[in-house]
This record gives sequence, C-alpha cells and structure tokens, in this order.
Amino acid sequence: MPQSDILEEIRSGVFDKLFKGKKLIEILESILRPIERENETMLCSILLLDEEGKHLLSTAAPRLPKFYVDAIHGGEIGLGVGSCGTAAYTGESVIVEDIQSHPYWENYKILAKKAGLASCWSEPIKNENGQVLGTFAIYHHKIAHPTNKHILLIKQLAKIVAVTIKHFDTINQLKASEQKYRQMFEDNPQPMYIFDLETFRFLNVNHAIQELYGYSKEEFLNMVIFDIRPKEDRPILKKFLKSRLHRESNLLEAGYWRHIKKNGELVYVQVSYQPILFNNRKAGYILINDISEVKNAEIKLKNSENRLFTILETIPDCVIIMDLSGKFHEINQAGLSLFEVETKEQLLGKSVLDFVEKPYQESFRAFMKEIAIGNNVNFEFKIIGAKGSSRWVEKHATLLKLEDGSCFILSVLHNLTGEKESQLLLKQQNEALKKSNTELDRFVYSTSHDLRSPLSSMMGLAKIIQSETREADTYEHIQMIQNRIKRLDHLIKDILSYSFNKRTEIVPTHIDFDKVVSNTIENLEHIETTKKIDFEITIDNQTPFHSDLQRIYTILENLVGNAIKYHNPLQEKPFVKINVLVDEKEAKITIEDNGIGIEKDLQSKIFDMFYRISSNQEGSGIGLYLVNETVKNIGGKISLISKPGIGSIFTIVLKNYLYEYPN
Amino acid sequence: MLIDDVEMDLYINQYVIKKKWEDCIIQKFTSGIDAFAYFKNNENQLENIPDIIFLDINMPLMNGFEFVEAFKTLKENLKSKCAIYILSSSFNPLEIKRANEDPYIKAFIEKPLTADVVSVINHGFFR
Repeated sequence: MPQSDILEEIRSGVFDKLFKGKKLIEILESILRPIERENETMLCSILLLDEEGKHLLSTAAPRLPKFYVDAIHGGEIGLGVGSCGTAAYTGESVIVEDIQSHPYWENYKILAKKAGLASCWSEPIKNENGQVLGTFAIYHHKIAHPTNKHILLIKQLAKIVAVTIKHFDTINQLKASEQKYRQMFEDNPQPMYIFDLETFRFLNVNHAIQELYGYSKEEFLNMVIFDIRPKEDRPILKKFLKSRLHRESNLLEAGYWRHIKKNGELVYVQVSYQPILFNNRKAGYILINDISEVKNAEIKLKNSENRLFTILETIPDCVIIMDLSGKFHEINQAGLSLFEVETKEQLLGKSVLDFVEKPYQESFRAFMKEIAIGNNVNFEFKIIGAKGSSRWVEKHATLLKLEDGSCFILSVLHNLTGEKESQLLLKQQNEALKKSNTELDRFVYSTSHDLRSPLSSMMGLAKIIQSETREADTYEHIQMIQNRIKRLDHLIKDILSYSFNKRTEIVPTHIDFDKVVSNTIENLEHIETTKKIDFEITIDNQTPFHSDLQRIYTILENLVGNAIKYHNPLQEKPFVKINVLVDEKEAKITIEDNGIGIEKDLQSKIFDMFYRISSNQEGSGIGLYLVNETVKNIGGKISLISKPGIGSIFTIVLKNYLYEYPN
Repeated sequence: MLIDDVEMDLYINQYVIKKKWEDCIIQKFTSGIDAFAYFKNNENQLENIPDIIFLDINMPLMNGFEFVEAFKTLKENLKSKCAIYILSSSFNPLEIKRANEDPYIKAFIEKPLTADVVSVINHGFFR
C-alpha cells in the first residue's frame, strides 16, 4: 500500500475515533497499527510528557514488550536519556541506528537488549507553538538505517499525533464546558427555559422551573410558551415578542409577566432574556425570577389601601389631613358636605380656620399647637360651612409624621349637631311619654275608682233590699243584679291590677306561702262553689322565698279562682291541689284541678287579652292575660297541661329574689 | 260618724248600721274639712266625740288620709276615744297598704258596708 494511502487511512481512523469520543490511548494506537501492519520490522511507541513537562509517560506501544514499556514509563527527560528522553529534552529528532554502541543509550542498553531492540529513531511531537508534547519513536530488532522516506514518515506521523492530541484536548475541553453549562442550566436554582423563536415551543427547561410550575420536562416540551400565560396576557406577549425579540442583545430585561402554574395558580415573574443558538435553532434563553411574594404583598397593600380609602370615603365623619397651619391637604366625601363644598379644589389653599366660627378661633389655634407637639386632644367647636350653615363638631386629631420628616395633622370632625338635636328630641319625647303614661295611669285609677264607687253603692243597696224582702222573686232578682255588679266589679279590679303590674316597681319581700295560700282561698270564699271544693295544700318552703307579694296574690287569686269557677259540676269530689316547692333559685307552684279542662287547640289562646272560652261563664277575659303578664314581670314562667273533662295543671316557676335584686 | 262625699253611701251605711245598732247616734259629714271642723269645735266636749269613724278616702279638697293626718294633731284623750275605719271602694294597693300601716286606722273595709262587717266591728268594739 502506498505511504500516502496509509497516512490517509490513519487520518480518517483518527477523526472517526475522535468524534466517537474514544479514549486517547485507543486513538493513538490506531495511528500506530497501520504502520506496524505495513512495516513488519517496525515497533512504534508514543510517549507523552507529563503535566510538569519533565517525565515521559508510555502512552501507546502495542508491539513493545510490556516490561520494557513499564520500565521506561515515567523516566525523566534529559540529554543522553535514550533516544526519546533526549529528543523530548532537545526538541530535535534523535536517530540511533545501534543502541548498543550509542552514548545516549549507555544506561539503557541492557534493558534494550533484553527487549531485543537494536535501533530507535525518535521524533519530538510538537504543537503549533513548537512546544514539545512527547515523542514518536520507531524501534527495530536489528540495526537499522532510516531512508529519507523513513525520516519523512516519522515526521508526518509525529505531526498527526500532535494534531490528534490537540483535537482531543479541544473536544475534551468542549465536553467539559458543555457539562458545566448543562449543570449550570439543569441545577440552577433559578427557573430557566429555552424556547424556539419561530415555533415558540419549549426546547429545554431546568429542574427549578419544573418544580415552580408543576409541569414535567416532557409536558413542557409539548407546550408553547403561551401555554403558561393567562389567556388575556397572550396577545400582549405576542406583541412584545414581535417588537423585541429580533433585536440582537445580551441578557436583557424582558419585564414583568404573569404566568400560570399547572394547578392554575398565578405566578408573578420578572424575566430576563438572551438570544442563543440551541441545536442549531434560533432560540431564546429565559431566566425567571419569581416575585409572586413581592407582588402579592403589593396587591395586598393595594387592596388594603383601597379598603382604607373606601372606609374613609364612606364613613359619615369628616376626615381631614391638614398641615400644621391648618391648610387642607386631603379630605373625604363627608368632609366636603360638612364644609358645604362640591369638590376638593374648592378647599385648595384654604385653612380649616377659615371655617371656624369667630368665638372659637382662638381656642382652635391653641388646639392646633397642642396637636403639633404631639398631644392627642379632643375639642368641640362650631364651624360655618361655605353656604353658611353653622354646626357643632367634635374634633379628634393626631400628629402624622411622614417618612420624609414632614408633619401633618390627621383629624376627624364629628358632626354633633344631629346628635345634640336628637338627644334633645329623645329627651322631650321621653318626658312626653312619661307624662302621658302617668296621666294614663292616673286616668285608669280615677276612672276605675269612679266606676267602683257607684257600683259599691248599688251593691250596698241591693244587699239591704235582699236582706229585707219577703218576696222570693224579688230576692232572686236582687241576687241577679248582685251577680252582674260583681262581674263588672271584677273587670274593674282586673284592669286595675293590670295597670298596677305594668306601673309599679317590684318590691321583693319575704313570701310566707302558707299565709299567702290560705289568704287567697279565704279571699275567694265569695264564690259560691268554693265551699264544695276540697283543697289539698302542700307547701315546702324551708328555703325563704322573696318576691313581690302583691303580684303573687294577683297570680294565685286568678289561678285558684279559675280552678274553683271552672270545676266540673259532674265531678263528685271536685278538688284543687296547690303545691309549692321553694329552693334558692326559684319557687315552683302547681295548681291542679279535676275541673272541666281546656281543649288542646284553645290552650295557646287562653293567655290572650279578652279571650274567653265560653260566653256563659263569668269572667272578663283579662284574668289569665294578667297572670301571664305578672308572671313574666317578676321573672317567671307559666305552663299548662290540660285535658277536657279531666282537669288542668298550671305550673308557675317564679324567680327567687333572695340574693338578687330585680333590675 | 260617717264621712263620705257620696250622699247615697252615707244613706246606705247609716241604714246598715242602724239595722245592727238601733239606738246609736250617727253623724254624717260630706267632707273631711267639715268633719275636722266639728272635732276642732268639740275638742273640749268629749261627750260629742264619736266612738267610731267610717272614713272614705276619695273625697274632694281633703281626702281620707289628709283627714287622718289632721286628726293626729288633736288632743290625745280625744284621739284615743275614736276608732277610725277606712271605708272605701278603692282597690289601690298603695292606699290599702297605707291604711294598714297607719296606727290610727283600725282597718280598711271595702265598700259596700254589710251587716256582717258591722257585726264584726260591733263584736270587737264592745270587747
């Protein structure tokens, strides 16, 4: 094979292996192999200098004996250190035709003889700057003289090795920097992505952005950059890309954007952009700075500002910010109407003092001075609005120190006029009401007295007639008149009790239930049927009970009276059981009868005013209403269990005012 | 003695009392002022002073209680001779309470005066 073909074979083999990323030793061996194949007597070696540049390292020598290669590995270069040591040291080619006789080999000829090596031609491998990288050597088993052709070959091979090493280094450096770049991209804590400038597809994304947005790399690579934006922001981005993207520029600010995470959450980001080539495509390299927290805080602030503003604008009190001389700076809606102007501009350059009524101006100035030295003071004065209305206001003010050191007074003016007026009105109404109540009470009393007075006269006369007549009919008729008078008299009494209950203060005294119950029954003896009733009274009042005596009588007389009046005429043994049980909190009173009872659907109505179950019963229709009102009045409750034909049980629970006084 | 501004009540009361105590002397006054004047005029004629006074409360110019207050200013021997009973149609608990608490008032009697009540008073009075 011609020498040029061999060299061509070597070159293409080397480049193939370089691009396949093979190891250096493998690549260098591929240089030696074709030479040794074509020249069977040649044994080649490549030694490379270490980083120090002082020692030769055996790198490739496929046909040399292993012990020889190991022996020369790491040998220091120098004049007379074999062919290679000397060549590397001097930077000149060293052709030793007979190792055994050459002075350079003096120290190594035994080793060479052992390895069966007789000659060694060595050529230094130099880079483009002439720096020695190593040596290329050809050994023979016999003493050998190189021809010109050989010299040329050895120099060409040394060059090929130099170029190979250079390419190898470059590729390695490239690889390292690529690795570095990849790491910087992939593991960067800042979210980043690369997108195609034409298709807007994501070309690459790093871990941080996957974490922030919640999309996996695969998902990103199937998306375009518009997909991570809110719909309404997409046209803005398109416009922006059109105007900015093709400008050649290094890392540039690309503004603030809103992005959307996979879960729909908004992210506020600050974006930096740099155009790059990625896999031979024009791409944009995007650096994302998540500023959501800042933005959210900003939004919150804005919201709270808005809220504050809304509050200020809607509160009915006037809020003013003025300078220390009293000049208006800011005022709310309520303030405008207080000062009787339409717009803030009308107050421009004016002072609050201009609106203060003359007699109060002096104290207003003093008040402002107090505020200016940091005292929080309140002050009442009168102001005159732009349209001349005079109003009472109360002023609360505070000194407002701004960050730049300037001072203002924040003050709230509360319009007292309405308050004062309504207070007055309320007082007047209250007095009028009191008066009319008193008048009404007096009226009820005097009227009822005036009504009772003639009734009692009629009753007295009727009784006289009844006691004297001998006519049976007259006796009956007089009795009928008396019944009607009694009926009317009860009504008047009930009305009076009602008025009494409403009007009179509760005066708790000790209630002796034994006495109260027996008095009650005694008071009811005027009712015909009382004598027929069997009373059963159980009273447990070991705990003293305090309440309003008069009201207790009202309650008991009405309930026991009803129990007597509405007894069952068919019942052989009509009874009324009165049970009283007192403890520290309350008294429980039950009044049970076996009377006519009350229909279920009427039970809720019997406490209504003027409600009467039947018209042929005597009664005013006020009794139970009065009982209910009175019970409520002294802190009690009333309940009823009743069955027609069987009887009724009224249960009253009354508050014990033993330790507590009623309000 | 009966003190009441209503003539008819005076008549009824007199009638009822006469029925029980046939021979008693009854003086009638239609106002507290007249009655008090009578006491004033007879301060030294103890024989003219009644044993019992039935006194109405609700009267014009001087009501029953005002009369009692005036009565208290009279001489001791005179006062001790008289027993005052309030005879009223009033149902005002405050008035009843006041009557019960006043040491010069024997009792509060609700109108109308009946034979039974007169008997009770009669009984108490002579005992």
